[in-house]
Amino acid sequence: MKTLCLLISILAFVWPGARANEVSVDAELVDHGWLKSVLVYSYYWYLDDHFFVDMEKGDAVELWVRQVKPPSLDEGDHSRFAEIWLPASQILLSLKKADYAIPELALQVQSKQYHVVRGSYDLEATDIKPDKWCVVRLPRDEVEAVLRLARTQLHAPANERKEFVIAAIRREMEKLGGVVADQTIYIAARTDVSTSIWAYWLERRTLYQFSGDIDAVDPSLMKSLPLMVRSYSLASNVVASAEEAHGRNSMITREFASRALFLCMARGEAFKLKP
Amino acid sequence: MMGGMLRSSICSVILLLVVGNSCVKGEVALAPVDTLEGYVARLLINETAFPGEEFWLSEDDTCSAQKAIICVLRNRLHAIPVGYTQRQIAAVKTDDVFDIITAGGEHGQVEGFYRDENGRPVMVDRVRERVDYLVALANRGKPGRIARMLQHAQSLASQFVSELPKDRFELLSEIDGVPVTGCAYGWMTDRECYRVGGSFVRITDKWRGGMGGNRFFSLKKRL
Repeated sequence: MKTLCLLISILAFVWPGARANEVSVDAELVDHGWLKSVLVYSYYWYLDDHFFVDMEKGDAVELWVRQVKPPSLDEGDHSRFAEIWLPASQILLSLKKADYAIPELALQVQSKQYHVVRGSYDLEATDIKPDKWCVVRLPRDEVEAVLRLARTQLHAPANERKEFVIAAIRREMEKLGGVVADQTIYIAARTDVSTSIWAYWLERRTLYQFSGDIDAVDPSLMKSLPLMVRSYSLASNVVASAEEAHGRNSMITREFASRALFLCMARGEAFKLKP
Repeated sequence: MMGGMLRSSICSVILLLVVGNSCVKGEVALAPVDTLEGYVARLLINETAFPGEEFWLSEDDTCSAQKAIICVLRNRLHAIPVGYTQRQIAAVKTDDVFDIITAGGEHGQVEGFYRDENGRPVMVDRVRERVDYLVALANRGKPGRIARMLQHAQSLASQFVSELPKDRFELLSEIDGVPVTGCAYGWMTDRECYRVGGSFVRITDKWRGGMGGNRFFSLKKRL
């Protein structure tokens, strides 16, 4: 009996999932490799001083994970939903693993894994209690290593992503007309936990986001381009504070624009497009 | 962020969604874009998520969001709460829903919906392209979910004057300890990069304030 207790204690220490409470989640959501990819994604888009100040306090980084049931799903839709809470930085990530059909496109939308749909800062944090979450602890040294690598290793966009973005921007160029000189397009680095691809068209000073319910480069979604493109003019639509925007969707904050530009220009890859 | 009501002269124009003979193509058609019903329908379609899109959840979610948007239009036109002016909430003083939608121009209250140089309500190519694409999809084969959601948008727009849906947020009095006016007075794409600021209060998931890829907002109560 003593041996069994000892074994359980050791397992609880070496296997973080074992220390989680009784909350049940899909196994892939507590996979350490995947969670580290989530942290890299968060590092690019969300993490700030709070996270790193908190990380200094202990030997592990906590991520709280839970399944979420949306208020409504259509018949035959087997999509799965989850949330990850980063208590150190008060960031809530909403996740989806799509699995449904679009009969009009004769298309089965099926994600291979969960993707981050959105991130929120400190929203509804008062409702967040650890007993309703599966608490995963990643060793601090491993987290530091993966973030260090994220700083030094460029995540150049894969060829298929380049081709997708270039085709989409070419389409924009044709629609807009009047392009006579070479154009510079930056395609952002990205991680596999997001479906979005970001690109920056330098001469037009415009950010583009391509996103869908499955990976934006999935060939089956290419034909659905009108559903996937958002653009943000940095020439006129960046505000220092959200207070300036007065609720206009067209406006993004300087902080957000800076992150997107950083990913495109410092972490991405540049291309010249001929008119 | 939006709000709205319809001019009485236009109220008489009933342009419902056209459901044609099932043997011919084009079962779903929207009211003409230059009518109030057509313009509002396109707004509802453009502002909500459809299958395959980033924020798609379900037909109920999208239709609920369309209803909530219609309520915002109405509230901005007709239900300005105590302590506020219409201009503070809608960036315009008007009794015309076209003004509510197009306030602020192309990058104004509703991105992509604006008045052209002749004062006609129009929309950018991107919106037109997306809506046309969805209508074309809906008309492929037997009408399905996409067709129903387009019909729902058109029906809401067509009945805007006579049969407004109940605002699901009408009875809200407090959100996370902040006293609010009740009702929704704005919406934005539900992304972290969009924060409404000012007196708008984010309606949390507890009240199902996120629908159809949008986040809805009430107002801080003023005495």
